[in-house]
Amino acid sequence: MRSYPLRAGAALAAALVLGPAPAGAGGFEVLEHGAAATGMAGAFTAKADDVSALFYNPAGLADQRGLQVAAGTVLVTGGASASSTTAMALPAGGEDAAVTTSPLPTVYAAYGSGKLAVGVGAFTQYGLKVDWPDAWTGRFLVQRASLETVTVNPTVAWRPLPWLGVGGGVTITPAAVDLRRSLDLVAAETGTRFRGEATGVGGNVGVVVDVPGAGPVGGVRLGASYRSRYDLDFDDGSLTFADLPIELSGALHDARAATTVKVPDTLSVGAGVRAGRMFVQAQLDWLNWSRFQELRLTSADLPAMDTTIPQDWHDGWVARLGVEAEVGETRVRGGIGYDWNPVPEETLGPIIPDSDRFLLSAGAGRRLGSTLVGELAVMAVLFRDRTSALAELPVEYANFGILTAFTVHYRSAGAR
Amino acid sequence: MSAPIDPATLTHSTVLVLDATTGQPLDSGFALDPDTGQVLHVTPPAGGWPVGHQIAIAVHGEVFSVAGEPVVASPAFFFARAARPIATCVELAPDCRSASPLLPLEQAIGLERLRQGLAPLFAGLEAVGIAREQVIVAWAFTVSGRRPAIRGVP
Repeated sequence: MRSYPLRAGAALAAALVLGPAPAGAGGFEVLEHGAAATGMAGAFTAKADDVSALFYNPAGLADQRGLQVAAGTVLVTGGASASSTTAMALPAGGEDAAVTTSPLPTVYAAYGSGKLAVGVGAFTQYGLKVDWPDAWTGRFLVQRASLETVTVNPTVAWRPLPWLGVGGGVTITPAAVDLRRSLDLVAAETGTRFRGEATGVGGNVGVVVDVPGAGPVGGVRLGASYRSRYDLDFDDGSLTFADLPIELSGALHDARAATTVKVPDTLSVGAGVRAGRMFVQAQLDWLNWSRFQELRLTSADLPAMDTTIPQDWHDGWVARLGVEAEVGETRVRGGIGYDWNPVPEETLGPIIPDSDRFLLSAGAGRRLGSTLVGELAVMAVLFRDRTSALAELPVEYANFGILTAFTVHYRSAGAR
Repeated sequence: MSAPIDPATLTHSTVLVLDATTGQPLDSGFALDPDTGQVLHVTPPAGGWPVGHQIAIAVHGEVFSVAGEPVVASPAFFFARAARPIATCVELAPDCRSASPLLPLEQAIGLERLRQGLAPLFAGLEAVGIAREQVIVAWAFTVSGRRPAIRGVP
């Protein structure tokens, strides 16, 4: 049976991954973790020539000599709106989720000898925020939710051959979720809230291959980067109720609850060409969202809330093209991309009103002295409007997203 | 009602005996069973129950247990007194859906049947100013004018 929230916990569990994810990757993944990469629409797997390689491709660190530290943030601003379809009428003008801005900080540090480097990065690979009105039509599916994660990623990189770099690390990701929705009791409604914490452990590996150039081509650089799947097991969460009718106080009560969110493997493959003072890179990302087939919430304390709902996601793909040009002391960047979202129409809801999207970005970087470099980038995420076939809420969604990234790099004297 | 009830809270303002056929309240007596404290005995009005009429009895409003806790509707009655349908059908069908995620479909269908059966009763209670969400429990019966077919059978 494919009906959506047949049981109460279903939408709660689904809301773990909710939201218009206004980033350059479908589902609830964020792949923008540095201003240089963001300025190139995320096409950075082959280039990976600064310390943000800790995220984009750990093999890129192998070139590093000396100490590099970078800190910054990506401000993710996004919103979503729902409007009527022939299958369901919403209030005139539709209903809007609040526009939210979430700062996603990034910190990287690495030290290298030119052949061997070690480093550690911290970033938010998965994170969402959604804030629909309390009384909106889809309140039984979701009202508010947030998913906050921080991934810590110790890494080692090595260049065994002049043309080959490899790298890898482990990822440790603490996560916290807080989500609210209303529960339809026919004669009344009650507020529900699920909160939980989890830690996921995974790993990542990468490789870069440098091919000498000829003629106007200064060189070709190939890169591939893989991040492993892992599960976020929210196995000691709390499920609480607000404004519960006294008649049901014996049947419903605050309880421990558990759910698991499966995050995907991701693989990025890129190829870049250096020509003069310009570098152009093409990239294809694969996200194994097809492992996200269902969400299950269980509560030993309150079995009435046990539920399983189908998600039936398929794999996600992103194609990116980025360019960087040196203009005097400034590096100017631009990029475009297209993201094929993983959410089928049949399970598309306000939890994740995902849709295919175009990515347009621009950025610049400039030295701020002998050891500092400042980077800035902006990415517009242009979602395609999409109509849901979800039985409970067959409406049309329109999303938007703007990412603004700032990064300051410190490079020790003599570092490269 | 799962707890002994404070008899002082069962008054004509919390217990209504209604001639649902005419829509007029009846001057019936009632008393709480002293042994259980949970069974309500309702006595006919002077002249007896009106033959052929449907009689509705409702306990509503602020009724308390002897411990001072409010007496409220059972979860089943909570759903059954709803104004909205609980299920989109009264017989299991492929496109039938429960209106509440809390209720499995078969349970919702059973409650919807009960809700539909109680609908005339609630219409009568609302006509005399008793809101359905105030009703703790209610039931109805029809007074038959026929004698038992077998003598000796009460």
